[in-house]
Amino acid sequence: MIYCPKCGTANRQGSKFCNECGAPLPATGLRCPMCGAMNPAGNLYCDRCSARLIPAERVPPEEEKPERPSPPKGISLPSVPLGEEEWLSELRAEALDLAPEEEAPGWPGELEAPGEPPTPEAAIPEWLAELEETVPEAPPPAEKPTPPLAGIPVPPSGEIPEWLRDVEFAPPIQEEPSAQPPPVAEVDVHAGMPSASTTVPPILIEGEEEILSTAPAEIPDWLKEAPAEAPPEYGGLVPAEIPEWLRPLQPREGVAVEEEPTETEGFLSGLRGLLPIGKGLDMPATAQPLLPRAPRPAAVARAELLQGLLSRPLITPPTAEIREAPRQSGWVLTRFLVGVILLAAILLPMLVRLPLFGPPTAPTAEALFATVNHLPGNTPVLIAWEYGPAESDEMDRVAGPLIEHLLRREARLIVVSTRMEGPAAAEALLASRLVDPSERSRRIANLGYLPGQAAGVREALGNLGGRTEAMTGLPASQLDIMADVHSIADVGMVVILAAQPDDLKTWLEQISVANPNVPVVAGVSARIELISTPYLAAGQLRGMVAGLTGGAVYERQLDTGWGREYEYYLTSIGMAQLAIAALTVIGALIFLVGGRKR
Amino acid sequence: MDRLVKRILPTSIAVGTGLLVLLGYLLPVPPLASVRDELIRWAVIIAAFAFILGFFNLLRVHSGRARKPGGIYSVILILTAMTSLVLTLAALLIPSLRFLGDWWFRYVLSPLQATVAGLIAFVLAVAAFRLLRHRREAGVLVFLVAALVVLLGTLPLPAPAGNWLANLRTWWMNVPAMAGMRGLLIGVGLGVLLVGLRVLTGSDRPYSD
Amino acid sequence: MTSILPWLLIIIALGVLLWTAIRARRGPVPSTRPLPAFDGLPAELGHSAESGAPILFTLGSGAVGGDRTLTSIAALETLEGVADAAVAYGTPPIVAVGDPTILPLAEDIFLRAWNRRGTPERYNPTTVQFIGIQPTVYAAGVADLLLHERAHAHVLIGSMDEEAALVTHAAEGRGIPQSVAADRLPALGAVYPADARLAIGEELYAGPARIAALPRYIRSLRAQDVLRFLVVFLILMKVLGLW
Repeated sequence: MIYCPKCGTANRQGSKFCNECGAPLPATGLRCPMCGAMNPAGNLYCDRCSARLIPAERVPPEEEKPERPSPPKGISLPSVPLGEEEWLSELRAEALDLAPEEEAPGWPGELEAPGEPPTPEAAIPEWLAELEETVPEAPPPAEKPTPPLAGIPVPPSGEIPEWLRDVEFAPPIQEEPSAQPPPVAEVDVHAGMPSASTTVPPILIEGEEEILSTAPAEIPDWLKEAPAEAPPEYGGLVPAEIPEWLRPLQPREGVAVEEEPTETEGFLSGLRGLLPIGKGLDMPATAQPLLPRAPRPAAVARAELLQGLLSRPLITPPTAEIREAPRQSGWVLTRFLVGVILLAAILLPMLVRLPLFGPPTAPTAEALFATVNHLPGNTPVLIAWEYGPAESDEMDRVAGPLIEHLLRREARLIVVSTRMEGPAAAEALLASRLVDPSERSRRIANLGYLPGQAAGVREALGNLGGRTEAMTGLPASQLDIMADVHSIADVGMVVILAAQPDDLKTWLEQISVANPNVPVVAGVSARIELISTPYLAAGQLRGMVAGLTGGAVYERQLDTGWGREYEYYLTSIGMAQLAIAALTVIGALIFLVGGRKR
Repeated sequence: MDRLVKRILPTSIAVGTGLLVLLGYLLPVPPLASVRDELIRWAVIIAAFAFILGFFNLLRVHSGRARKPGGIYSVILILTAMTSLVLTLAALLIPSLRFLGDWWFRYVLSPLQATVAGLIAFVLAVAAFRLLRHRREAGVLVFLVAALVVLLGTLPLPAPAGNWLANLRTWWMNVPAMAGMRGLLIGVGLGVLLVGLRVLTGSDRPYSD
Repeated sequence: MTSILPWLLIIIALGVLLWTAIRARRGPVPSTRPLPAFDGLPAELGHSAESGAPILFTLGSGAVGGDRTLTSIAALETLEGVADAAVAYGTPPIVAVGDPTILPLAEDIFLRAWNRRGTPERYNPTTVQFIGIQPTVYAAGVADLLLHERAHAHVLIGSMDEEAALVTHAAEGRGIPQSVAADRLPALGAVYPADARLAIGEELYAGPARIAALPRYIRSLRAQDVLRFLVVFLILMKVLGLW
């Protein structure tokens, strides 16, 4: 698998582009310089022609020397012994080659790993021999030899200094055994100064407790000039001349040197003089500022600038001042004028009888009328009530005459709806069209809301008797009107009252699957008349009444006396349509001449 | 584990369920059909719970907005929503109180919805007036002509103009408008098909990362 | 014959999708033609970040589980394409949904976006707002949002009918730029006169490809193109009497 460098998606081997984000994938192989074949990235030789893929001077991965173990993160001193450094090995080898009378510096030997006894006679390494040559014959008049490293006992006066001999160590001081062996050398930070206490702990290397001893080495000539006797106040020890630079570090006399507590935890255990760790913090409570005595002027200027910024009061970002685009010219005037014109167009026909329009025509509504007229009496008719209050002003005038016609034909109306407000809208219209309210239970069953849209329709069509009457709460199977109606197969006609094309489509699709032979008619809003016409042409609808015009035609056919109301509505709508058409033309001319918005 | 729970498991459930329902429609074999119906029933129940989520979201948004300037409308909305809820529950629990719900629906909710729907005509009229302000392309001319033909062709104007316009409208609706509509619907149908296949194959995961 | 057609269509579409997927592995992702309705969105996000005013996304009245499911899914995919950028800028949009089944999906988009940034606590539960289930009520509520939330720009992408005119009218009155993507005929007729960048019909489904530019979206568009030419070919064959 190849992993995309951009999004990390795993892609099939051989892919050039990531399947997820389209980023190009890295090259996945090595091209052979001889034959041009692609080989897996790990190959050293070509699979086809065996030519070498990686140049010979380049060291193959397996021939590389093993890496040094990296130290644990965050720790500067190793807690486990590292492999011996090469330079140390060489030094050790040189030391081993030294003649017994030659001096060898004692400190490399002190760093030897435990278990390796130093050679009794070590030859002087070259660097030391060179140093010996440069050292003047005359002993240094005032300076005393530098005291030996910390922890090394000072030899008594006249004796060979410790650091010249071949590692002669004092026996270790018996300390209280600690719970954990100290991992590294225990170093006294105040070492180097002669102290009241002459006993200094010896160097302990890597848990080494035994101090190796070697045969004493010969004192070099330049050191023989050391004073033979030590002043009495030093108890026989030869006092060293403290160099000038070291004098400030000299402890004051009379001041007892406090022994620092020894660290007992971690890799630094055994060390003394470490900074105490605060609770949860490494920084001391009062940290002294580490500023130079005389900061540079540029730094002072920057500091002052920062200080100035920080000392300013907190400013809350201002709330976004939303720059509204300047009101389009005439926006309010346009809306006002259009509103006035529309209102006038709608109200005028209601105030003044305007014989502008002829009688409405709707051939599809007349065909539907004829279909319903041939319906046998007492036929169960399923009504899909798919509109709500928003469309009720128009749809009530489409559905009203149709419902009344069905009631006149003694049909039993079974109402369902996939819209939540559908059953309530149905009840409102049914109550207004039903002449005798007591007939309701015998003529109408409102089976309520069908959740799930298409799925709910399919389920309802297959099990009408399993539903519950919305008004009474009774199971539909217990209603007299539903006595012989269990599913769509028992229904004589389906009427779909829809204001949305989706509702019409859903019902037609489900009915065509459940019972393609049942006649289906529709009452639709004018806005979906165009979309519904193909269903009429295809025969899925036997008739359709569309919009207020269709409703008016149907009412006229029924001769219900609601005609006058439709006349007002239709005239007002006609006037409004005329007004909108005029406004469209006028607006087009205005903006065509006046120029478009930039 | 995180990938399993957040990505693999939801994708498997979605793809598996989708395939089962699709097969249930395409292969009307009884076992598959009953599985399909059951899964759809579950989906309907889950969607019903979404209505509760929507209601609480409405209350949360408007209770926050009620404290801001102009929040009086949010207060009215909350009161109206709670009233509808209480009246509906009352009608369900106490049948004799059903008339309250009917009254609320017939004289408060319905007129409000009808009013808002009525504004659409006004808005469309304003938009038609300002048509050429925003666009100057060939399509605008076609749109203008179509609007005028349909508006005037619907009117029962006196003959012969009325008949001529009505015939023109019928031709326009049945030929150019129908052609454009079908072309649009075919394109939309293909888009819907591809989006559906992307969801069914798990390539699109609107429910997870 | 009727029962075979759905199978045939699905198999052909799957085959074309697979073919485009295989081709995509071998070559760079093809580009899509400019769509003004979506091309301006990144810039609007930037302006929104500068001004501090959010963009209002109207996802329509479509539900999950009905005929409008996939239109809503496409709208959600477009929203997901801008969610990360909007969250990174610190000005997440306001999303208005018209059906509660879309609500948790839209909320999840922003929850995941904030999670990816590592600051889930900054998610505001009122980012996504359910307005109302009736389309006209939804449109009126969105128009009110445009006025009171002082949105910087408006994006309408989803399933709406002519009530979309209420929304575009409100945005036009405020003078804010708007992008509208509609695939339903009543909506197209209503929004065409509006002052908005339009994506008509199937261009709505190209939104995710333009915004997110992920290969799977562009492959899907390619498959759509192939299928469209196939349908045109079949229609021509039928019309010319060759089939």
